[in-house]
Amino acid sequence: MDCKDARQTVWPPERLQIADEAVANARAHIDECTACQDYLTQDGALLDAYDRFRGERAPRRVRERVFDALARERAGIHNGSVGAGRFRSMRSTWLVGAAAALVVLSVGGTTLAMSDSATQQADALFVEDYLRRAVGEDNINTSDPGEVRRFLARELGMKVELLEMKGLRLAGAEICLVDGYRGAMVRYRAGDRDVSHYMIPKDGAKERSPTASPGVDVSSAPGSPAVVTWATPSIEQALVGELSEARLIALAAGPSALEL
Amino acid sequence: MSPQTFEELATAEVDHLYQGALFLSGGDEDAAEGLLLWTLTRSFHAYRSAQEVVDAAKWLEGRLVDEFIAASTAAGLDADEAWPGSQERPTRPVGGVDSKALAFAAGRVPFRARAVLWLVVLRRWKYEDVAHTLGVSGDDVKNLLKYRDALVGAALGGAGERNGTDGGIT
Repeated sequence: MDCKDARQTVWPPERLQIADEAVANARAHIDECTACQDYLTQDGALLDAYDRFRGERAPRRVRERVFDALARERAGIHNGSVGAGRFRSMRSTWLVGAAAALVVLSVGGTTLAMSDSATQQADALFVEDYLRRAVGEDNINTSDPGEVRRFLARELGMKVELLEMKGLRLAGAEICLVDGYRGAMVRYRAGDRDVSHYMIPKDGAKERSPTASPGVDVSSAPGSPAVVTWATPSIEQALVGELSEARLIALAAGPSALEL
Repeated sequence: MSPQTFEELATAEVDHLYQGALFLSGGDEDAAEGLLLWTLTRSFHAYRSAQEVVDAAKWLEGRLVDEFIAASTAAGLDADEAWPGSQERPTRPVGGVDSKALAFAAGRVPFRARAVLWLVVLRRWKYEDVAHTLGVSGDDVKNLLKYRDALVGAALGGAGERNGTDGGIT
């Protein structure tokens, strides 16, 4: 047996093989052949070097670009469901509510019924945001307002006014991506309920008061979130939470002595 | 239509594909990023229309190589560009090869050989699968694998004397 046959017989060496006569002969050859031993050592070393390569994650910037591009492709298709498997099962309620809110945001506060096309748009927008979160580590879990402000200032260059209301507890913040715009989603807890506050910087956003989103029939299921949207100059905002619309509107209106 | 969404697949594979793209791009991060982006965007549409993708991770690897070769060809690169070290065989073990040195070394190997080396040596594809994916013959694959020595030599920073009685596992 020559080197070529021996190497062909045992390669790849990490694969289990039945030790038949050919394998036994190949191994016997390799035991006596320093060239083949070097060859297999090099082969293993190349794999080791590549394995070390594999320990490195794609940089966040790359992941963002990839998933932003995929979200755009998905949004451009407007076809079919996007929320199979893990996606829908994990966040079914929040998906619908937040998607509805984001649709409202994307049209600058125009009341919008969830028609088929709007549903698709909502799906696409929420998928975009979902993917954005999936690929990055742009979130912070803390009840410290200073920490959240610093995080959002660093990530978005955004000075954020946090919501205040008795019974409302800060839980953290995340970077979101809505219709191509990076923004903030600050998470709160009101007892055992979640409230999310979206703030999406958008040129040309005109100030308007908080209003519930009539026509956005997010779900008929119990516990479905309510959605309230409003805008301050250049920032589209939305509250999505398992609270009444009146409570969300009060919350959006600013610091309040009301209790949730 | 495959049951797994493409986004789920891409989420699982993006790191691995990026590493492959870095190798194929010879360690050029910008080129790797572009290759990855282009591959996944194009694959998104192909995946949606595919009736069945049996081994999705491998399917993406093949598409990465397809796009890499298409882009290299379109750029006018010579697939068979000779490299002086290609016929030499390093004699030293390569236990100390740094992963980045490996990627930069890949950049010194002609692009079609680089693709074959990635698939066979580093991803352990079978020759026939590589030949099918690249649209070349099995003999072509074996010939291109001779650049393995060039890769090792470049990764070590130089090639040694030829050693052994044949051209590797080809």
